[in-house]
Amino acid sequence: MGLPGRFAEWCDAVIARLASAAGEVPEINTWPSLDELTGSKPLGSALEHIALLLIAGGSTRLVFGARQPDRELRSVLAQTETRFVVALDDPRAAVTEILVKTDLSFDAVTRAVANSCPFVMPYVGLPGALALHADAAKAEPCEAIAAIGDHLGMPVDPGGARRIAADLAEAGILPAAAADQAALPLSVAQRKAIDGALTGYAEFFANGKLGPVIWTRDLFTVLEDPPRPPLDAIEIAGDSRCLIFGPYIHLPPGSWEVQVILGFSRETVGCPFLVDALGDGQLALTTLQPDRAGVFSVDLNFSINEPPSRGLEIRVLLGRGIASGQMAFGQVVLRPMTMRHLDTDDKSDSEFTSVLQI
Amino acid sequence: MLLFVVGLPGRFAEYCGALAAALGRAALGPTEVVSAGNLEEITFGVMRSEAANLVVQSHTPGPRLLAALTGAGRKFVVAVEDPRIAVGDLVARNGLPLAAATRQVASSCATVMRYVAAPGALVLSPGEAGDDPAALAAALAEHFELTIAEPDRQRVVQEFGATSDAASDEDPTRWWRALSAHDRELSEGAVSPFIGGFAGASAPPIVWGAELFSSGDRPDQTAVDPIDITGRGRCLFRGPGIVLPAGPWSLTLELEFSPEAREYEFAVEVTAGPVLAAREVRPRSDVDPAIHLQFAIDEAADAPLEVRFSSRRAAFDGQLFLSHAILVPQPAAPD
Repeated sequence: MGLPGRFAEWCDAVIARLASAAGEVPEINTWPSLDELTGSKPLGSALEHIALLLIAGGSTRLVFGARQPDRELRSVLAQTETRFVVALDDPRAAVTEILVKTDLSFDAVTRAVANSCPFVMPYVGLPGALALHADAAKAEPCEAIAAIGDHLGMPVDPGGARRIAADLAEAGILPAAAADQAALPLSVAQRKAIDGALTGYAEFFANGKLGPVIWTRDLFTVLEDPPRPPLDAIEIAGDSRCLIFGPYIHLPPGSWEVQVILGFSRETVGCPFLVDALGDGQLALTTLQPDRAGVFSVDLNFSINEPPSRGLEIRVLLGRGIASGQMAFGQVVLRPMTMRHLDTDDKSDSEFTSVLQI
Repeated sequence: MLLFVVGLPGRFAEYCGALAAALGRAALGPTEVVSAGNLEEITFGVMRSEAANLVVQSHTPGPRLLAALTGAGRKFVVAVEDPRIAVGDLVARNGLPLAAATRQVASSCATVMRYVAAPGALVLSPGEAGDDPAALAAALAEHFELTIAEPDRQRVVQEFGATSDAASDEDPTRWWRALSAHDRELSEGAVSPFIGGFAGASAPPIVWGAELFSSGDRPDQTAVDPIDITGRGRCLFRGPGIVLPAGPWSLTLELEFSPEAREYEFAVEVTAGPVLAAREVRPRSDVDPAIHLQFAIDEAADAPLEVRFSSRRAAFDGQLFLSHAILVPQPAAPD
């Protein structure tokens, strides 16, 4: 399990080499592909995908690199006490690597990596997990290879680990990022968008504590023809309608405190605006009526149990028609609240169930 | 290696699966049998098993598994037998109630029949190779391309015969004959149209007795007794949760309404995942109380069919009685 980047690819390749040394010749299958991760189609079930690969390959052995592993796969891994590796890397580095080697837009890649993070997070604490950090593997690749071999029941001696590390290095498969974000032709705003969406997760993967997530305006869309990000003030004259929407990015389960930063011109005073959050249904709704021109923070609170099917959507809607006026979209700041729903695998869940008779 | 055996939940499919596993152990090494109804369960079975080779046995194999097998050019075995014997096995050996066993076998018939004519299928039945374990083993080994020398295969058959519950070691019709006429009628109505394969539009009608439906208020109770409609508008009965073969169908619900119940309006809805058909019902004394609906089951669908019969508004008095439902396969519409 890992983010779509170099370190997870390196872990996949190490496992395949270890399996080859143990007499298996498994194929590496990465799911979803980068195209699927950056596309808009639903991804389907990881378990179904694995079954299709097994049937197509005619074997019971494969290396499966999951970049958006779902709840059902997690449940089966826990039930079957299957051991697996979680490849933890700075998600910003993953974005950089993908941007370096593809023509994909920065917002699509940021969205794809941000969508991967909340799915990988719950795997870190599962009993069968070996969590490996990219920095540690980069510093001591042979130790990381040995740890993977021991964990998956395919032990390798130091000489074998050195050979695998050397083979992979020769093939250009390295455990840590070679690309430098500073070398990419990104604007300051685009760098801020990447940092905002992913720094909170980088903190989680480094020290286990999820920091705030910031979705900047580059990740949203103005409902105009053609659609564009709300980088400047937008003219809102016209009928009541949806003005801005996005970014369709998943969040980890839990309770969230959300601030939507908006700016309004003088003409909009007294006009109602609606701001809502949508998952698989409406999660929260707030109405705002500016009493003067200026910058406003709209607060929303909601809880989600599992990431919604197509990511979270924040919308800003004009509540009634207006003759003239302008609105500017700042950013959305999402902070995890301390209260969160306990995973059903948690032991305390059964205690509560018996005490509360639920 | 993965070997697939699909078949009804009876002794013959189990026998074929177990024999394939014994052959797999001789040819490939450790081989286990796992039961899986869908793709997710196959993954679960593979992850749970320690064996490098698995025989995947499925009694309700869906269209997605069929597409995966045919798409990958995989060979598989379809073990077909008289579905009444499969019902008997579920009741006598697994202790299932007759209605539940009938539902399972009827659903299995509808899903397994799709596999019979598919490329890669080896169709086996007890009357042919199934009566001779050696011939059955030879057929399985050849189809799955398991390389086993003749003496080894004979040894497998001998050892397997000594330890397994053989396909023909009891009289499977004895249990069936011991059933009451009513119980036989209930089960036969649902599964007999599949004996010898499902003949599409020319197949005999499927009849679902009231025992296969449950009360809307009490899902644990069957809908055999008159249903009291007194009370708020609600679901009065539902069922049977049986998968039907793909194609167009005509459904007739045979109902009787008490004079008081004829004062009210009802609604009937047919679903198999999505809603397939729905209509309002206004029973009157001077017309046939049977309710007719037309619907079609998609080739890619594998959800069980559910009929929901509801009262539209609160009723002060009245009863209705469900006799049975008749399903008649219809000719496919020309393209």
